[in-house]
Amino acid sequence: MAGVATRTLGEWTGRATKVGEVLEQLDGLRRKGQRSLASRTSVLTLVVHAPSAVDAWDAVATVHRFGGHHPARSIVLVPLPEGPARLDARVSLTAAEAGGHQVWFEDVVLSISGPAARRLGSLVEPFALSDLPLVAWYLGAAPEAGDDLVATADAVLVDSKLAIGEEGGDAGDDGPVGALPERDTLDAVVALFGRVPVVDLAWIRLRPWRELLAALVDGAAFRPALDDLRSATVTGKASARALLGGWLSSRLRLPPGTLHLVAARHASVRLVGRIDGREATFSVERLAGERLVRATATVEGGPSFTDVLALPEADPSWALAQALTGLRCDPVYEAAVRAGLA
Amino acid sequence: MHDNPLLEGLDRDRRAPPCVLVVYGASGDLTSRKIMPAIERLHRQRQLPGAFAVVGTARTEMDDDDFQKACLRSVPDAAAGWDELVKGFRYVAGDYTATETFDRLKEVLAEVDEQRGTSGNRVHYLATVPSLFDDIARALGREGMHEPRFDGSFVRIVCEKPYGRDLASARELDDAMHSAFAEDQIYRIDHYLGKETVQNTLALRFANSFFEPLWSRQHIDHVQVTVAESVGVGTRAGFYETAGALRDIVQNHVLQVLAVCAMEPPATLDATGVRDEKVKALRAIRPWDPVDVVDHVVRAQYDSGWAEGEQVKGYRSEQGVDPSSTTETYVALKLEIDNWRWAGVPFYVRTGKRLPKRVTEVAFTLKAVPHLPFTTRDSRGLSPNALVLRIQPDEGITLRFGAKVPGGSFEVRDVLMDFSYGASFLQDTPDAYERLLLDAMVGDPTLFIRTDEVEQAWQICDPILEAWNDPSYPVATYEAGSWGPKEADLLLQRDGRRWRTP
Repeated sequence: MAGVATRTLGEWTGRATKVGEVLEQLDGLRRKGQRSLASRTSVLTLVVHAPSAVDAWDAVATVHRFGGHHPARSIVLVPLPEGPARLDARVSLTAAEAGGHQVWFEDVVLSISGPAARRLGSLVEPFALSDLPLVAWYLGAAPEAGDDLVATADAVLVDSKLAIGEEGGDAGDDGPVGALPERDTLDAVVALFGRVPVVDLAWIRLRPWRELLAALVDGAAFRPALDDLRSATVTGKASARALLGGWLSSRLRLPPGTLHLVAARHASVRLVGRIDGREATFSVERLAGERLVRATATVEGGPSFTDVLALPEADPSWALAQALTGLRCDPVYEAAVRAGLA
Repeated sequence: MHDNPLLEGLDRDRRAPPCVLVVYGASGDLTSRKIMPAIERLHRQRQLPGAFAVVGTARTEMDDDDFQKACLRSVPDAAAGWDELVKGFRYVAGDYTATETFDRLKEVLAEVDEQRGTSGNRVHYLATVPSLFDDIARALGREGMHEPRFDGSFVRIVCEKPYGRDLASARELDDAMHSAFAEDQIYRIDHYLGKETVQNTLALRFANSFFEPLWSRQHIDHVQVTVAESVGVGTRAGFYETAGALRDIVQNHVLQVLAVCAMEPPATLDATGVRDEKVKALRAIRPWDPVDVVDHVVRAQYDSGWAEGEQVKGYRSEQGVDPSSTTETYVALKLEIDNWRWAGVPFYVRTGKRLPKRVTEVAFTLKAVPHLPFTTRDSRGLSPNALVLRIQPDEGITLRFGAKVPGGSFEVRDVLMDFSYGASFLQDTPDAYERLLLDAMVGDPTLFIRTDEVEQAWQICDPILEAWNDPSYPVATYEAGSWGPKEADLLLQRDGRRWRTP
């Protein structure tokens, strides 16, 4: 998905402007798109809640890397509640290609100072595409329960890794090892459960580890080990430990004292169990310095294999595209977060 | 067998269980061109289990090492980890009529089970020439390899089209298959069904209330199915001379697509639900009496001409083609479906090589409005509404309807509303083989052809082949790069219609 060529067809910037003016300019650009390019199919409105203007530009760039596979309209909000009341806006129209078809989409970046920054829901409504889901992506901390943007959204995207101050685009990347996530962060996420589907990009980036471990223990030759587990070890940074540890606890009903969480730069999972008295070991670990994961299953005196897989692109647009593909409540994730907090 | 709790929430039904894929014809073109790349993509997408291996077999003398190298060469752009997976692949050389081949194969499969934990699960994939299907299926039965090795393990067999060359030979092949395997173990591939089209068509028809009310003789005037190829016979002359467009495209791809478009809504979208309705639709297609074939079927061969900017030879001048060949490179036919939904709605089908472009589509033309309140001058740019399912190259849906031309007059004209799958979704479409291989491993036969469907499709094609056996049956010609012979145009003109230009 990375490396898709896009081209800006038109843009407009307004300082100290009004929503009506921004909508008018957006409409003008949209009509221009209709005249010059064939078609567009919209699938959702993506609202990005950015802590700063720099984050906002990064988010727009990430979304553009979808190229022709595009959710159609992005509205980036940079709220500054402390300043005097003011709205700055930038609207742009971009073209990309998908399967030989030219498609186009708009970006709206709004910097909102003053009290309106606390009522973002009202600001977003006029820009949202009618009759399509609205996804609110929080680049910083997870939203508070009373956030009125959450009430408008059909799904909320968070990144529990960034929210607890870990930098880097991959759960196994270099970076501060960190303590366990502050309870506040995951507590905020838990408070959203049941109100709106929550998709956590950190959870999505850990999907390869989950898939590989699940594949290792699959089948009659290996599965019985899960009925007699002796230990489960998760290494990694804080969010990886909390999420993978919570996942194992909630899925496997681990006996007390079997789960060990170890701070490390790279994420790994290791299960040790027994099959008919023989030790069975399953491990999934990131290979140092490479975007590769090695998965190994070994039954003492029995079958064994090693599987090596490339991790998906480090580009954040990969996780975002995955997230936007499945905007549903994920009971497995919710149980993992709850267990991770327990 | 206990459930795997870690698979919860990870698209459990899109992950293969531990198994061995046994490929017959492993040194062949299909294996290197389609099967290996599909396996690599499934691996890359983490849809294969760790406990997985391919065991290749063919007559070519090779050892494991040679086979593994060939597998690596088949996927030059493989992702990291392919070489590690391939290390577990094995090869057995031998003749399919020799018992030793299968004894050796059994030994190797047992070793793989021991070493990799593949639990006795097998998918036998027949990627050989069709004439060997019979031998292999019977040998597997004789050797007891059609039965699960352990309690709870599975054995399936996948075979490629062509499935017979007429009804009689298809039945013979089926007897061979059924001598060893139960029908629910047999997965007959038609790669057209592996394209997203079938499911997209099911979604379009049965997930929407816009279209289905129009989907019958009440509103549809006629249907046109086009499967056009721009290429000529190329290097496949040897095969093509014995097949022709009817066997190569119509008997399988076209009739399958047509069945999905014409079938009644199934109660469920599982294998039984979908295939029961498809076979009912095929059964309702009226087979022409051999004497009536000439009025409903046009066969033709391409003559020299210009295709895609190049001057090209006629079919009979192609290398490997008999200069007096009557093998059709083009066929156009009119089909009637005798049921309440479609009685009186003709389905016109055409397929050919050396047509102007590569395109596959199904176009539903609606009946004209009962009365046009516009003047003839104002409505001359207006045609009947149409709904086109575009299957390739750019999969999507086009709606043609009338709209007013802006301005003072009340002129109305056709406009097209295009929907393209590629531009609407964030994920890419899987390749047909990737999809079907995974379905066979997972055990979902929905997109494979059941024996009664094969038979029914031959029931439709057999009388045509019989009529063509008559040496006086005409073989029309068309210029390469054109949309077919004038005889095919006449087929529609007689009904007051004409072919679309896709």
